[in-house]
Order: sequence, then structure tokens, then C-alpha cells
Amino acid sequence: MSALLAATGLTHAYRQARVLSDVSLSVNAGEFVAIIGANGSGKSTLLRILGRLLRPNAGSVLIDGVPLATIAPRAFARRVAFVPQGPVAPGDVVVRELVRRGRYPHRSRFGGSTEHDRAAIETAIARVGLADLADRPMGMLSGGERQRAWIALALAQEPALVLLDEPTTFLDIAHQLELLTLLTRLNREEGLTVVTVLHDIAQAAQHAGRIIGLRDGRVVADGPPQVVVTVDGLRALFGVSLRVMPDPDTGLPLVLPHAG
Amino acid sequence: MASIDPAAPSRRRGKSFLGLGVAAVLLLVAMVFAIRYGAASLKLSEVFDGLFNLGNVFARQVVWDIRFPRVVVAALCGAGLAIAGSILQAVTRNPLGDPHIFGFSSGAGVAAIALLLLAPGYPTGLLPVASFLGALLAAAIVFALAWRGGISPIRFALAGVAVAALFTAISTTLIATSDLFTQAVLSFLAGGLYQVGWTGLWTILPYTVVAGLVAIVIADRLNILALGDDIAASVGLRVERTRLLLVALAAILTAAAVSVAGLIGFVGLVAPHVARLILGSDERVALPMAALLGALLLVVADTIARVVIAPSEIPVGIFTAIVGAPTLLILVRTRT
Repeated sequence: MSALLAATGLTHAYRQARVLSDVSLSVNAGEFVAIIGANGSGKSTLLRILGRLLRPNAGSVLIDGVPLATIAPRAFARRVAFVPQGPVAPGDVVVRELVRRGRYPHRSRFGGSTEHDRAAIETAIARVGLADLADRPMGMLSGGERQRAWIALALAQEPALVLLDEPTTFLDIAHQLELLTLLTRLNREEGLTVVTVLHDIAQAAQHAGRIIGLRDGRVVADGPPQVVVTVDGLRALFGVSLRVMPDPDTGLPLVLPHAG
Repeated sequence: MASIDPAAPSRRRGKSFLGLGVAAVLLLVAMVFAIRYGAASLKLSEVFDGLFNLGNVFARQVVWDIRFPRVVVAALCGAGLAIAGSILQAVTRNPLGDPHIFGFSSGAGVAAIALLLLAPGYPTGLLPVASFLGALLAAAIVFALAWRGGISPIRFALAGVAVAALFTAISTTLIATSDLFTQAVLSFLAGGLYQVGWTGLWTILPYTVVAGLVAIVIADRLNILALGDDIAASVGLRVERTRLLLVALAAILTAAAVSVAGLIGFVGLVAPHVARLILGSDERVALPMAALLGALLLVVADTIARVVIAPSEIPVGIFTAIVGAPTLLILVRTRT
């Protein structure tokens, strides 16, 4: 069986500065992958290339075994959704209307919305737990609710894979946890494949089944949290020594932000 | 927690239809009054007599030969400029987006003045053609300057403002260094529908109607662009191609309007904002609403321009500002 997503030899530079060097990775359906790395390590660039928002200087990406460049944009959008960092909507747009716009790749060019469109919108809103707020304007939502609305827009595309760029960045700790729990649930219970850039290694270790570590545009670690998130592994990624110990309940690595 | 309100979406839709209906009725009423008043004022019965050719020869002449085409042209220009403004505001994600501010009209101005100065004996039909081409050229220049592997909204806005300044400077230089200065130049620069009749109407009708309808049909793409380029691309919108199509539509609508009406400012800026303040940012209703309000604004302004010191006329741009500015300010202060 071929991988859902397979990237080979991705290399990219902005002007002269090389940000990705020969990155290869593949993601199977049903995985929850976190991409971690220091600032400027190339993680956002990698995610944008996988999401077709950026064309790499070299290398190729296959979706379902088909080269990304040969897939029509709307067909791609029905397989892969991308949630950028800190998106902004006009404040008067209500949740249901925002999510409706995620149906664009499914609509016939000039056709109206179908029964299935309407059902997909309501389902997406319910899956992120915003059913009670579907008619509330985006401007009146909390940061956490707003982020869930953007995820509902992505879900309305009915994708197999969702890419997220630091989805917890502007949230407080409670809403960060809520969001990662939501993604974990969508992954485990509904089979959604998730690839997310995460800033917080501890969160990545607790929620992702697999962690990819980038340093200076290269993949230097790739494996389950217990393998990647170690004192040596984090020193290789971030250049500092951190204290790591197993969670007494789950055995997953805990990271403490001070030298061990 | 807000309670579930199943009626909310249909209520919003009802409000949109009501708003569009009221604006359409207001526009029709304004057009009837615009036909009624002028150098010679008519009775309402004479307006309908003239419109439907019921036997009154004088009414027929005033209404059908002179005022009706002029009023329809005012409505078409107003609607076209408003749609162009809506598009440019969406494409640049900038509230100051406007065909006038982004230099499209200035291109028409340079072309018209150059024609008047270089070929003083030009055939009368040439001025609309020159200004039409000038506006398209200016739009193409703005687009080309903003392009670098893609259009960034901020680059487009800045390129537009720069082109506007440059073309206005060229126009001013041409005028200042020439002793040939005609009434035609002045009225073109001030903007107005003086002596616009059936020829003008047939000239712009196809451009304005086709480009305007295409814009309204694809208005939902403006909604998607409003969420930012990343979201737009990730739901499968071809962002650059869509922006090119939209800017081309805005350029055609502006070119058609300036070719018969000269440089009328403010309609393209104010009508989209008023529409969004009344009906919200969903362009599927805000765009047609802006078109109706732009038409209404220009019909009203043109009527005032004709009536105030009849039989002379005042440049219509003065009244689009006098009527439009307070409306916008009142809405901004009460509804935001």
C-alpha cells in the first residue's frame, strides 16, 4: 500500500538562504505527526510545500501516489486541508458561513449548495463542538473557539489529511489542551490524518504518535516520542540540554524547561 | 453559551433580500425623479407619457431622447464604479481600494488629454475610445508593477497609488504646458454626464452589463479571498488567476464608466462600504447592494448637478462627495 503522502528530496531556498535540504518523509493514513524544530529550522516551509502553498526548488511530493503538481487545485483541496497560523476573517462572518467557504472545492463551478454541502457543514461544526455557536460572528468568539472554527472549515473540505501550522500559538494553556485533545480525537476516532507543526515539544510528545525533528532544514529525528524526545535527541535539535523523564501514568516523555 | 437558533440563517437571508429590494425600489424612484426634474420640470404623467410614447411630443423628446438615456448611463456608471471599488477593496484587502485612488481613472485622464492636445480635430467618437484604453492600460501597468511571482495585496495598493500620482502629474504637465485648453478637457476631468445620450448608453451597456454580471456571479470568490491567500489556496481557489480576472473586470467597468462620464471619484470608494455596513461583509449580497447604491448615488448626484443652477450644470463629482461622504460617516459612527 502506498503512503497517503510521500515527499522526496525537498530542497528550498528563499533568495540565497537555504531553508530545506533534501528532506524526504512519508505519512501513512491515520497517523498523527508533529513536526518540531528550532525557529528557522524550516518546519513551516516544509508544511507549506506539503500543503501546496509553496513550490519547492527541487524534490517532489506525491499524494496517493500521484505527483502533487499534476493534481487540480480543487481535487487536491478535497484530499488535503491546511490551517495556517493565525488566520483572520471579517468579524461579522458567523461560524456557519465561515465553514461554508470550506465547501468551495466540492461545488460545481456556478452551482448552489447541495443537501450534502449543508450536511457536511453541520457535521464539521458539530465535530469541533461549536454547534451552539454556529450563528455567532467570528469577532465575538474566544481565541480557542475561533481556532476550532477554522478547523471546522478544514473539515468541511472532507479531507483525508489536515496540515496545521502551530495551531496552539495564540491560545492559553486550557485552550491549547482543548485543541490538541480535539485533534487527537479526530485522529483516533475518525481516522483523520494529522500533520502539525508544534512549538511546544512537551505537547508534541503527549499527543503525537510520531515526531519529526528538523534542524537547519534537515530531518535529524523521526520516530515515536519515546525515541525522539530524549535528552540527547533534544540537544541535537535545539542545542540545549533539557530535563526529560517518563510520565508516571503513560510512560510518554515529559520535558522540563530547565537544564537537567 | 448561546442557545441554538434554527431561524437565524433564514432571518439573515430575509434581511439581505429586504435590503436589496429597498435599494432597488429607491433606485427606480430616483430614476423617475431624475427624469422628471431638469432645466424643464415635468409632471409625473408627462414622464410616463414620454417613457411609453403616449402622444405628448414635447414629453417624448425631453424624456426619451435626452433624460432617459442619461439617467440610465448614470445608473450604469455608478453601479460599475461601485463593483470596481468592491473588487479592488477585496483584492487588496484595503478599505481605501477604489479605481480612482488606484490610478485606473488617471490613465483614462492622460489618454483623453493627450488626444485632445495631440489631435485637436479628433472625431467626437474617439474620446471614449481613448479614455477606455487609457483606463485598461493603467490597470495593466498597476498589475504588472505589483507582480513578482504573484500579486501581494499591499504591493498592488502601493503600485496603484503610485501610478495614480504619476498619471495625474503627467495630466497636469500636459495641461500646464499647453495653451490649448478646451471645455472638453475641463468637463472630462471634473466628471459629468453633460450631453450624454443614446450613443453613450449603447457604448457602455455591453461592457458594464457583462462585466457587472460576471462579477456578481463569482462574488463568492471575493468571500474566499477575504480569508487570506493561504486559506483561499488551501480550499482550491487559483488565487492569482482569480485576482487577474477580478482586476480585469474592475478595469473594464471603470473604463466603461470614465469613457462616457469622465473622472467621477468617490462612488467606487463609498458605495461598497455603505453596502457592507448595511448588509454585512458577505459579498454575495454586498456586491449587488454596492452596485444598486452606486447607481442610486450617481443618479441622485447627477440630478442635483443638473437642477441646482439649471440650465447650467455643476460637476457631478462634487455631489457624489456631498451626498456620499455624510452617508458614509453617519453609518461608520453608528454601525461600527
